[in-house]
Amino acid sequence: MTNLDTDQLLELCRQGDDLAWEALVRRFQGRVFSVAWHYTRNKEEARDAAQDVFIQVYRKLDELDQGRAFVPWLLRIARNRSIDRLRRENVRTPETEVPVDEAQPMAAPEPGTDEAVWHDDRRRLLDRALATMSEGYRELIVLKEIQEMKLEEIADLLGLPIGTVKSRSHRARIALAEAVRELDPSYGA
Amino acid sequence: MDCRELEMRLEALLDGALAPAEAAACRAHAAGCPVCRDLLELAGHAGAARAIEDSVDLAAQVLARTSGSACGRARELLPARIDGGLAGADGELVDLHLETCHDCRDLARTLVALRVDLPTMASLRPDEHFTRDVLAATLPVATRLRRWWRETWPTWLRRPRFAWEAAYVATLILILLVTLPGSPAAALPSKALEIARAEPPSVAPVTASAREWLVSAVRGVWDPVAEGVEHRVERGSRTARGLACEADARARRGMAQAREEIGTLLDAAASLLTRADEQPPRTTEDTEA
Repeated sequence: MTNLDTDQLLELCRQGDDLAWEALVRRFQGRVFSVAWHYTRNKEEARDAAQDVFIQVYRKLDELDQGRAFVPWLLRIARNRSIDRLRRENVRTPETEVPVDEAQPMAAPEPGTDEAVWHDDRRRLLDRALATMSEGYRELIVLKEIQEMKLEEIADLLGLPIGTVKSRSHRARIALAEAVRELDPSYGA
Repeated sequence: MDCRELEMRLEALLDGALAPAEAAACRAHAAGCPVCRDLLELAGHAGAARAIEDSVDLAAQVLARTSGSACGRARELLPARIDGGLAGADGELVDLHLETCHDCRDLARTLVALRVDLPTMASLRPDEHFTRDVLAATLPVATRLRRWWRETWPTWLRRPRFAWEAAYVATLILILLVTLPGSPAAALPSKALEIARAEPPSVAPVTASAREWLVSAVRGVWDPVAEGVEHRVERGSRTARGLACEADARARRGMAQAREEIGTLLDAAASLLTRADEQPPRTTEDTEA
């Protein structure tokens, strides 16, 4: 893994350096694939969505403002492309740009898919618990707790007030904790 | 100290949290005040009953009949408490609740573990071909076309069905060209039919004079060529015959000469043998001498 920071890599990518672009893809592919997985919950769909994300990033590299943080921008694209793909493939029907609807039912995860993705019991358990949550709560968990985005960035991404994001995020954590305890009461003991 | 001051300090007095001087002042006042003495006795009984209260969880029963369970409020505040963002009275109240509520305490433990485990899911490794596919998809179009032409096109070409597919596509294009309205080739079929149905053009018979002219023209061209060829063939055969005769004569001369030389050699050999027979045999002294 290169020691170049992301801004340096981006600058080299803008100059057309193919090696820098490869390094950038390798550095962020796991993150993008993870986001896509949590939205699509299908390995192939997630892979295709992640690939779309990088193609879009490649085309829009010049549009990224110099002072703007890359990761939130990347995650925003990852989130939107995953939702677009879901709509197009009609795998599930998520809400539009801001699907923070607690009452919305979740589609059941495909049997065996999580086993194929996560390689340890603890994360597999969390993934199963996430699959039982509503789309809105899961999205907040993914963005806030897993990807560790700031509240302001999430609020901007979802078009919600910061206070709303904060309170919903707390409720989402409680819901996840309850779901995890239901699946495995010994977790965290 | 008066009765009001004693009431204000009663809880601290019972909990043993008062300074010794203040506690002594309270007891001195109660000794002279029957109302305060009764209050102290009652409070003493209440203290003794605290153990019973704990065993029957009186607080829970009271909450059930008044405000309801406090777990809901505690769970609202739990995430902030775990993140360290809840200080002051709310923080202390949540801690107090956790001391007595097993469910909320377990939930708090789960939340603490989640804080550690969830960020480890931020990255999920895709399959090994992912990077290669992304790079292939994001290469410049010209490079991609070159690569496709170099790698994929020959493979297509080698497929057994390629000829059929090419014929099919060509037919399709032809049909489209001919049938599409406004196409430049749309009028082709009707023109072709017209030509096919039209009478063949009349050809004038070749006249005798023209035939003679044609024959003489061909002869004029052909005869000199034929004569030249014949002459050259004859000259070539003459030369070949001369060369063959000369070679034969040389061979004959060579054979006669060889025969003479062999005869001479045989004669010489015969005379040598004759002379050797005529001389006497040599002794050992002759050889030493």
